[in-house]
Amino acid sequence: MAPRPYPETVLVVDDTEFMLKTLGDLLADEGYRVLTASSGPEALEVYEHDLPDLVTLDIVMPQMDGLEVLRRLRQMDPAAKVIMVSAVGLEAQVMEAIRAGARNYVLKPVDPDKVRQAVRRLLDEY
Amino acid sequence: MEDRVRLVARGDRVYLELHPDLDAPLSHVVERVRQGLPGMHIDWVAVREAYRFGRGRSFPVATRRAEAAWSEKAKFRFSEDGLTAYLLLYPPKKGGTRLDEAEVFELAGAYGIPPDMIARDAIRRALLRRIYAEPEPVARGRPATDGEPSRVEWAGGGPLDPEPFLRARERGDPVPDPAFLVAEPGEVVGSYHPPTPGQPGRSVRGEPIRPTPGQDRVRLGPGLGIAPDGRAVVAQAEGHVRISGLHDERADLVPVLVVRSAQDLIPWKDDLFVGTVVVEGDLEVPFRVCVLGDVEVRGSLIRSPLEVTGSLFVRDGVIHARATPLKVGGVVSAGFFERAHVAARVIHVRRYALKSSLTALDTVWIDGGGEVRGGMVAAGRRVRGGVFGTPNGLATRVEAATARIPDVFLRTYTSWAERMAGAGGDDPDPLFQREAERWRSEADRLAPPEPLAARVHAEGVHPGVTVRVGTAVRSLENTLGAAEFAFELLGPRGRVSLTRT
Repeated sequence: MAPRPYPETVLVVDDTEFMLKTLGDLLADEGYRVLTASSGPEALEVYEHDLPDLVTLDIVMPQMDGLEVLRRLRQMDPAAKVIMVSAVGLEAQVMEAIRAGARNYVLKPVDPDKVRQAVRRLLDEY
Repeated sequence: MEDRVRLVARGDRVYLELHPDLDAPLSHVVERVRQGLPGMHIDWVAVREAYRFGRGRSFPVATRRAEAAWSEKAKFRFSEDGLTAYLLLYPPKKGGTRLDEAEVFELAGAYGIPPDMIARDAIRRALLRRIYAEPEPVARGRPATDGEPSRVEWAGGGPLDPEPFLRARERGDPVPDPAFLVAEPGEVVGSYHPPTPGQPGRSVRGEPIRPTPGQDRVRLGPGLGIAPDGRAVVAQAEGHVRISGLHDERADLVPVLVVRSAQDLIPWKDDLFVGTVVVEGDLEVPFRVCVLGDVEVRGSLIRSPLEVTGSLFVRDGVIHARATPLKVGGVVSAGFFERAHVAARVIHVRRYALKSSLTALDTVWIDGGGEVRGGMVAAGRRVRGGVFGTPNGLATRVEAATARIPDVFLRTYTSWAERMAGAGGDDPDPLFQREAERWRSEADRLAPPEPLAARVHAEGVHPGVTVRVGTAVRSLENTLGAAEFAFELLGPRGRVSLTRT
């Protein structure tokens, strides 16, 4: 698909530098403006300041886990588009996140095509 | 703070009005909307859009009709330069209603797009095609027009230095035959056009876009000034208006000596003249004169061993100077060269060169339709244009980037540096010292030629022509049309490639 003629911003939230870089580079290569946050509180701060079009959110994080970040994001912006990023074996948390308003999820290790597809599909939703 | 977030009901819709200076976070607006519209269907995407794009305007965010939740939706997005607005449509759910043109138009207004910038046809087309989630350009702003830099339209003359001289020709600007602009005191020598501020533009959301104002590039040296009307450039003394760029970024007034014959140059026999020399008519100088400046000959230059550190413009031609080469630091431009022997940085042949030896450190530029009949033309970088040779096969040599070319100039520049270093006796003028230094550094900067970058362009080639590029040689035995010759790395001495153009 051709890149959008206007900038779309994606916030990548993960506590590991490797995932931030992997997802960040992948999305930047797709032409998105990428913001990163390495913790829940930082993600909320960045979200409030930049209002990104979409968030990819790791479930397991120290300090504030992904589910709590998701709840606060939805409180702040009920229209927030969030994709959860989860390791295999955390299906229960994923389902809880979907009930809390997450719109999709991807499993680690991430498949680049699946990430691209999930991000584009969600951005193309109202 | 509270009145900065307002909810206004009109008909069955509720509009969110956010003050333009609102600095509260989105969460605050969300909370206010939640409190203000209990039990209503709130379009949270619209709230978010109003927060991002709808400050200072009424943005529809909720409706009393429950089925509106399933209706078709729309958003606008804006290009990074702010000049284009894209409409995005999203499909209805569960058989919800479709948007009509008036609703999309109202939404465009809520996003701040002025009605005069909206292409109604594009919106109609988008609603007819209904390709969902695909951005459709529907409104266009007006880009700013940057200001023009200042410039001078000179009453005559043109650039004398090699680089602007060639640049003007490369660009294909209409360039008059070179002639010097010599002014009397108080004479108007050009009209000054100040920089313009440019035209502001308007973004697709109606915000002004500031243009970049034009810069004042014109630099007038001592002796030249702008009249009180701000338009006329006036010479304050007699002199040659020396222009250093086609669009005249810089001009200086240089002392000028007008001569009518070689007699007038006798005081400078075997010596240096500083300034510009203008010769009224033909000139035949049987002795050596070195001019530290430019020379214009308003006739022909005949058998004259001149040395000119600036440029030499000859209205007619350069004739029979083979035994005593003409050495020029800048450009030599002449209508024709007959049996002439010339070395210069750039050589400009306006009509023809006949049995001459022309060597340019940089370029030999032959005007369209010009000819090289017999003899040799050589350039360090490029020979451009012209028909080479004659139909009866007169031997004609065309060279580019050959090893001997820098040697010719090394000798000339070194001799000038030595001569100027010794000029002025015990109390030398600092000008001579500066010039000596300049030619010494020019000599040091001479680099070996680069055959791979060199080119020979011909409008036509007759038999009997030999083209040499670097170490490679090619003899032409047939008539050719327009062609380009270049150097190819093939074999021990390389090869001259030929491309018909």
